[in-house]
Amino acid sequence: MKNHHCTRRMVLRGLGALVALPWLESLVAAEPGGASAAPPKRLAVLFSGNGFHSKEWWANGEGAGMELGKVLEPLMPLREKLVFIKGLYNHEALTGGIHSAMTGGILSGAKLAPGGSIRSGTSFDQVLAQRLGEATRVPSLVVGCEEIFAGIHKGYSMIYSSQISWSSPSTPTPLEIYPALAFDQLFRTDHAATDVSVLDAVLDDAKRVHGRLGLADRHRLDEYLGSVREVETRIERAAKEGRREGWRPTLDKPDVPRPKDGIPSDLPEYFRLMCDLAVLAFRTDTTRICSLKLNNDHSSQRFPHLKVDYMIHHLLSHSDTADWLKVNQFFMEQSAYIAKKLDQIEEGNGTALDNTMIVHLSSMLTGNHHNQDLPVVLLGGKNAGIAGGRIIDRSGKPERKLCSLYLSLMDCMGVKLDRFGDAQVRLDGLVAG
Amino acid sequence: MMTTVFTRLARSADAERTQGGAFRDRTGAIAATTLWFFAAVAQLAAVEPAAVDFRAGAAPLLGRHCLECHGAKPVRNDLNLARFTNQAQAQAEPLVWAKVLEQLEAKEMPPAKAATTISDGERAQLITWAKTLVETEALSRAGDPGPVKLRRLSKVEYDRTVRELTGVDLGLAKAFPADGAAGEGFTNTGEGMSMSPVLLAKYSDAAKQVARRAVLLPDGFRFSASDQSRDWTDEAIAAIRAFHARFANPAGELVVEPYIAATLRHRERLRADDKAIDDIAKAEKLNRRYLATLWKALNGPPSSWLLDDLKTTWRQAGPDGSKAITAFIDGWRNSVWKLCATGDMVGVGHFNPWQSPAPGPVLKETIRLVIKPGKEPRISVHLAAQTVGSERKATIRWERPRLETKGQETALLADLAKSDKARAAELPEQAPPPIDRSVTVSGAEFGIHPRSGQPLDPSSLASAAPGTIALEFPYAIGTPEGKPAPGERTFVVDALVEDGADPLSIIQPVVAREPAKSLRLAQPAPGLLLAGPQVVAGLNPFRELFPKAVLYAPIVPNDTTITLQLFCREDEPLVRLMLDGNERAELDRLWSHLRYISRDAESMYKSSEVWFGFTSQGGMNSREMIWAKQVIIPIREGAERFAKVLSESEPKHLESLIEVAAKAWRRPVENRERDDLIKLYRGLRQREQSHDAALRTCISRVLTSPAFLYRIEIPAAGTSPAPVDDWALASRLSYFLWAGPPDAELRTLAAAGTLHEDAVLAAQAKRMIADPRLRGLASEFGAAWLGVYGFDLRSDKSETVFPTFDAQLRASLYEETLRFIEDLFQQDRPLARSVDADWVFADERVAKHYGIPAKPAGWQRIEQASKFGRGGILALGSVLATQAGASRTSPILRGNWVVEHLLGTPLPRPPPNVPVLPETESSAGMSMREMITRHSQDPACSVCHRKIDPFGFSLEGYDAIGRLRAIGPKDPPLDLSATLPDGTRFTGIDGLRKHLLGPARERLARTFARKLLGYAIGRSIEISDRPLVEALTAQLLRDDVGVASIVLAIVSSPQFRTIRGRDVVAAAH
Repeated sequence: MKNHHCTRRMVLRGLGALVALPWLESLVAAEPGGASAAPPKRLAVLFSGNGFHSKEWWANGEGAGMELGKVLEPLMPLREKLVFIKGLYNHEALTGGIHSAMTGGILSGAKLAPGGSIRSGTSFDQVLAQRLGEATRVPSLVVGCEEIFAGIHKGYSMIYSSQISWSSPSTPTPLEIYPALAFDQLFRTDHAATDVSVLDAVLDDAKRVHGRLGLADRHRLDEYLGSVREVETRIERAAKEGRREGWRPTLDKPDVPRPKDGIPSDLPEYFRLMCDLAVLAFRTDTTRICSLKLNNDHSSQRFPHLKVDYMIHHLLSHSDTADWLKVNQFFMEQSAYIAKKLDQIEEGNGTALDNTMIVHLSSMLTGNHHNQDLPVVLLGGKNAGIAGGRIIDRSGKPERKLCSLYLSLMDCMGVKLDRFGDAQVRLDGLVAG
Repeated sequence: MMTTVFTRLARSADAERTQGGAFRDRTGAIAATTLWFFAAVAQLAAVEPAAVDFRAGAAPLLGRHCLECHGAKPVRNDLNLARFTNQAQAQAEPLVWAKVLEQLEAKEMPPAKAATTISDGERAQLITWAKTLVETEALSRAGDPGPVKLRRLSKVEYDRTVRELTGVDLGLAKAFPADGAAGEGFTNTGEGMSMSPVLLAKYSDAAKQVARRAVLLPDGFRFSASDQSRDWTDEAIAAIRAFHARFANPAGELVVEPYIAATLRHRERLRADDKAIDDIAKAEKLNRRYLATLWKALNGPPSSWLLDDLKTTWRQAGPDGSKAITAFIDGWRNSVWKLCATGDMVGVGHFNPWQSPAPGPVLKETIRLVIKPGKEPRISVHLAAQTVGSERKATIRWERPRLETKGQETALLADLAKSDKARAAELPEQAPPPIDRSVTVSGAEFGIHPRSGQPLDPSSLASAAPGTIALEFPYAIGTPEGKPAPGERTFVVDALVEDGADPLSIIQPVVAREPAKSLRLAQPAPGLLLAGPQVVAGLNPFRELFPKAVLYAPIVPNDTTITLQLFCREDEPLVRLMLDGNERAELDRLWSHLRYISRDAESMYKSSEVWFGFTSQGGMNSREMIWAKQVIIPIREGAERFAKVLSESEPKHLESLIEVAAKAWRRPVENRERDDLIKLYRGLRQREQSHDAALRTCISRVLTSPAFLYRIEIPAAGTSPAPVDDWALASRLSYFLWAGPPDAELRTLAAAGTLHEDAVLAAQAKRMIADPRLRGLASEFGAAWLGVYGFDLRSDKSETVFPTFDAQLRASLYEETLRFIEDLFQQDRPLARSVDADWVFADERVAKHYGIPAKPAGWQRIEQASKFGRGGILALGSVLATQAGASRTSPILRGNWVVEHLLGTPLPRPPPNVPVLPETESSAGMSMREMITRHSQDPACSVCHRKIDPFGFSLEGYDAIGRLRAIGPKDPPLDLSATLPDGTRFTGIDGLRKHLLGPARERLARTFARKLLGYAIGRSIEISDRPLVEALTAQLLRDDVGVASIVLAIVSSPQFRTIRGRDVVAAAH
């Protein structure tokens, strides 16, 4: 019998609330780029469900001479800033069912609870958000272009196939699917002066009932308490904004209007809006961490704009067709778009892309649920020591864990952990030196 | 073994009894439930173990057949059976063995390709051992309320709770992240309900949105769908208009005819018994008060001449005489009342009444008739004296008929007649006049009285009434010779009724170019009336009974000119004639709301200065100045009174706040919480916040509290389960059956502390099932059970291939699904009907989609649905379309839906490197069936696919959007046959129905039982729920027990009614 008793500290750390509490300040990692003149490092994770065309996900050669499979064609212009990573896998994703169980732990390597339970692991982007989030107005931007499915598939909640970012093992980071609300999350500052009074009052409510609850419920209420404190801290900090020293972002405030309410019915427009928001968030230094779930692993997206409208994404993935390839390219265009935009921004002694790591991955290599080696491609990160125009092939090697990549990427962001998920070593050859 | 089980059972029943009498005095369905619950438990207990010990009964077999894959390092799975070394360890994790048991019984495991082959005897031995363990453990824990994690409101629950609280549908949860499904597959499970700063910020925003929509009123506050005060004012006006509409027509008039008709129709009955008036008013849907007043007036003693006239007419009228009587009344009320125009300083909107008594008949009046030059050289003018009402004799005098012409002196017609005569005499006989210049009078003579023959003023005429006088004269009369005819002339005459005739006679004088059509009128036509003084005095009783309008319908005196008052209330006749005490209070309240919301007293005072400046731009005359001063004083006083109303309403808002908090928190507000709320409010006021702002902040604080966002239940100390209190029970019920908060009745019972009583609980559950709010269960449980949750919001079909499959059709198909589920529960139908129902709910869209010729208006239940290939869940368009691709069907998806979703059969994970499918049906030159069959022949695939695909094949008669496939005469027939791995064969949807209600019936029932119970209690089914699930399953298999009874059984179960002790450390499952 396992005891899931959690200490209060664990809970609050899980929620990223630790930064609000003075007695935990010593745990806060040194903030890279905080008061220095160098631009900060950033991370964007893009996720596509259901893998890619099995014959067209490959790369050969290096540097400007690099050749890419057709899926990766949109990244050709960026090949010298690209690392094609082959042969990684996520061990726990081999043990459960398909889809949900392959996706819910993709950024954490965690074991997923089956049946009616929901338990994954804190994803590496959220670990970063919790460690670095204090430096920016928003700890992270977690957005998606497909609604979470409510259901259970093959014994696993379908939230797993719809959610890649997790604030704690039991807390999926709320996924914003409305571009306008994502914009608000980043840039809205109209907190009422009375908000803090309200939060103080409800905090008292929660504290009062806390001791009268059972253990499991107390844990749930701790989440509430931590969340209230975090929101309070953010409001208080927003009131003191403008004290930034050293490096300044290239953009002061958004240079585009707030997107329209609702979800665009046109998928390219939807993708584009979310990509623009990620770029905008980075340029304004509103956050340095972003995860963009382009679709679910059980996606029912359709692609009429590509004249591929006879099957939904999930069913398309079961055949290697020309249409499936077109759809794959459309997804890769999104990371190419973000990368190109960032690459046009001069920043420090390079471009914004050189200070940003963009990871694009899926939870299976091909639509037939093959996840023994996963498709991963990385863009940017030159100033973090990642040289582009390369292939890293771990196939058949003993150390080929996906979480090793995350350990390395966290290093690049200035957060050094001994282990993460199932990995204890960095991804060999990714970062120079 | 038996003894042990029963001892345990008895113990647990004892515990229940002491904890709140959960098992006492059951009645009806609940009694039956309990009985079969115990029967099922006893049956389970009867299983006699062959081998109890792990080491002897299980370990050797596990080692031989299982541990190769399920050892310490499981191969492509996560089940490690090697960690069990003794019986105690095995007993600690009964869920593991329940899974093992399931796989063994279904012969899924060990797999056929395993290195060793398990013999039937070995399998039986292992099954017996596992079954004994599982069932023993299940019984020993039976009824455990289980680990229910603190539940937050799901998105749907949040919206429904806010709707119940505010009365408006705000749909705020749309901005929240989607809830994940957990437990048995539902979004109401505590397990899936985490909290985070982002979500909290969203809750805080939503709470502020609600608070912004609070509409402050003098006696509390309500909520509006809008956050604009302009809209609140409009809503207040609309509320008054809606009230008005209950009594008057859109013009504000009381429509008399139905009342008259009722008095005629029921004349005899009412004469015999005037107490029958209540019944008649009710039956005829008339206002009781007015009907009674009217009846009394029609049957009372003589009162005034006009009412007496009416009475006479009414007495003589037949049962269908209401039209004529109404015309009489309408004619009269139009002439004794007048309505004033709006604006212009003097009309409505300037403290002037809209409706006022017209003088009615007058003694004398000057009548004018404009005559324009025409082709005719001679002009006719008819002076008609029409009598009105009863036949009475009178004489009318037409004094001094004359012609007024611009630029000329007024000429009396009598003089002109005389002078023309004189002039004619002077002219030489042989010279003919150029035109006929004579004035002719027929019906009377100037200067002569028609009755007495006595002389009259020589320039005047007189005639009997009814009677008519015709005058004829040349247009150019009186114009000097040679001058052009004048442009326009006016015929003028003074008319009056002579004294001395019948004092009640009433004359309607008409001066016109045409003769009057009738000289006797039953009731006045619009226009002038002449009468003697007695008539004039006798009009008031009629006026009181028949006002022209009972209220000022526009409320807003809208006009092009500026008005001072924003809203005019004029409804004295309504209040006096039609409203009882409650209605008067209601109307007063509605008006007080409008005044309060619009703050018109304040704004009128503020703007009055500007207004006076505006209106006196051209300078006011002295009369206007006096009036202006008279107006400004009451306006100022009104503003002062309103300031007092405002400050007096503040404490009432705080009382309302506490009430809203109690409703929002779904329990009474404790004194301390009340004090805290008030303290917050006071603190905000001290920080210079207005009352309005501070109150709104307090409202948002109520809705950000964990007491609102979570379904907090306080457990008892210790580790024993105990019943939840009645407030928590009310919420458990309402969120189970309605996905919303408890209503007033549940709150009343919770406050009285009687809700937990068996009979009360059962009665409430029944009431709630019958309530339309059961929609909550239909969508949150039913749609998820069928795997079509949120179907209406998806867009996963190709618009090119299926142009008809639009958002509206989706919404209709979803509605059909929910109606079907509601009907199952509300009609308490056996579960089998969900499969073999021979009816379908359809609106026009669904009917068209399904090819049903009927064109239902709205929603209709159509019988013999099987004629159209419909009936039951298998033929629901929503289900068939969900389990299909964007443009083609997917027998695999449909088959999987039957196997996993409906029957709850777990399937192993598909193998890696499944071969891909060819693109489309046509491209490979194969049918979908052939394609899939080929795919499934791969041995790696066939393990599962031979279990899944046949079910999907049987549904291939339906296309990807759930229509019956059209089969042309040249098309090959559809192959809908299915062969299951065990050799069972069936064909098409009918065959599948028979299969589900035959061999698969128990699985179908058990899955339904599990899911409904899991939904009800918000968690996964535990081993301790097995006896209840089995008991529910047994009932679901009967054809005389409906699903509503299953709901009652769940509601009465300890799982539903109790909560684990506070100090239980949740076991991991």
